[in-house]
Amino acid sequence: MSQHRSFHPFRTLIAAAALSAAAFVPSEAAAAEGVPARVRVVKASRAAPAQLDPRLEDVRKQISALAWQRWELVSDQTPTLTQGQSTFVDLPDGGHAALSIVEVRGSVVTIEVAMAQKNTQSRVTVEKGQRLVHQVAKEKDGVALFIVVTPWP
Amino acid sequence: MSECSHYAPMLTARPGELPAEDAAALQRHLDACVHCRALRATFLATEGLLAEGLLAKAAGRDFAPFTDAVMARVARRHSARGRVFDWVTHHRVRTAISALVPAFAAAALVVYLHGPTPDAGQGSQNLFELTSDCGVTTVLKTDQGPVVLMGDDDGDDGT
Repeated sequence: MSQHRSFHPFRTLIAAAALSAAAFVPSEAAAAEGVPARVRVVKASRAAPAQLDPRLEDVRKQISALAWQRWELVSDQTPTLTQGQSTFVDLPDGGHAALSIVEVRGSVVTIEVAMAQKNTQSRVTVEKGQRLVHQVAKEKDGVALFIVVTPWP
Repeated sequence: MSECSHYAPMLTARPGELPAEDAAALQRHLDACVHCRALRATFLATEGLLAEGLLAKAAGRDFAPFTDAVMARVARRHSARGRVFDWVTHHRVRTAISALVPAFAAAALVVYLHGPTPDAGQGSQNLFELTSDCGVTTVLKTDQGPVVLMGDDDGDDGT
């Protein structure tokens, strides 16, 4: 007489969920390891003539609507932003901006930009392929400072 | 009871079935009764026709494929692979459910864990949170990403 094993759909479901959760663990672990990013510090001024640093060509569309005419790259670095740990970026005015990761969900990341001296803190969510252009210093004598953060450059 | 009625049940008896005394009495009655002798002759003539017909019909059938199929199934059940195949063959619905339920569960988890959040679905630049004491802040939304501008005290945000 043949014997058939009993069928347990709920056990099967739980097993599948466990397997899927196990498959998801590496992704979370990758998020905990950090998000590679390209961080550029940019000085913008209203002085004519209009000029865009060639190394900022990819940002042209985002900054074209702004009033500043001259865009000059000050520094370019590629840190790995981590969750709960700030990465400091030096600014030409002597201050610094602190960048950290708030949350990573797949290809979407929430970045926190904090300027302690100015008591300013913002959290912006961008997805892979986008970049964040964030003013980090108020305009003074027609000059303002920006950072351009590109996650997963 | 007439003599024919007495011997009627014995007319269909096969040779050797009746006791010797009854057989001798039946033979004496058959010698004397034409009607019973005719009935006995008819019975003996038709006896075995049905069995012979069935045997002939059965002999005309080729049972070789049936035997081969049974033997093949027996041999298959001796291997684990064959048992799995037999189980799948006989439980198609359960097999389909066994395959689909984990697939749907995995897909649901992937969508839930990796899918875009409701806020992100409207465009990632929509999610913005600011704590600041620098006055009005402007966020420009572009398809390449957000542009965050700090407000000036005099209200000029540079745009």
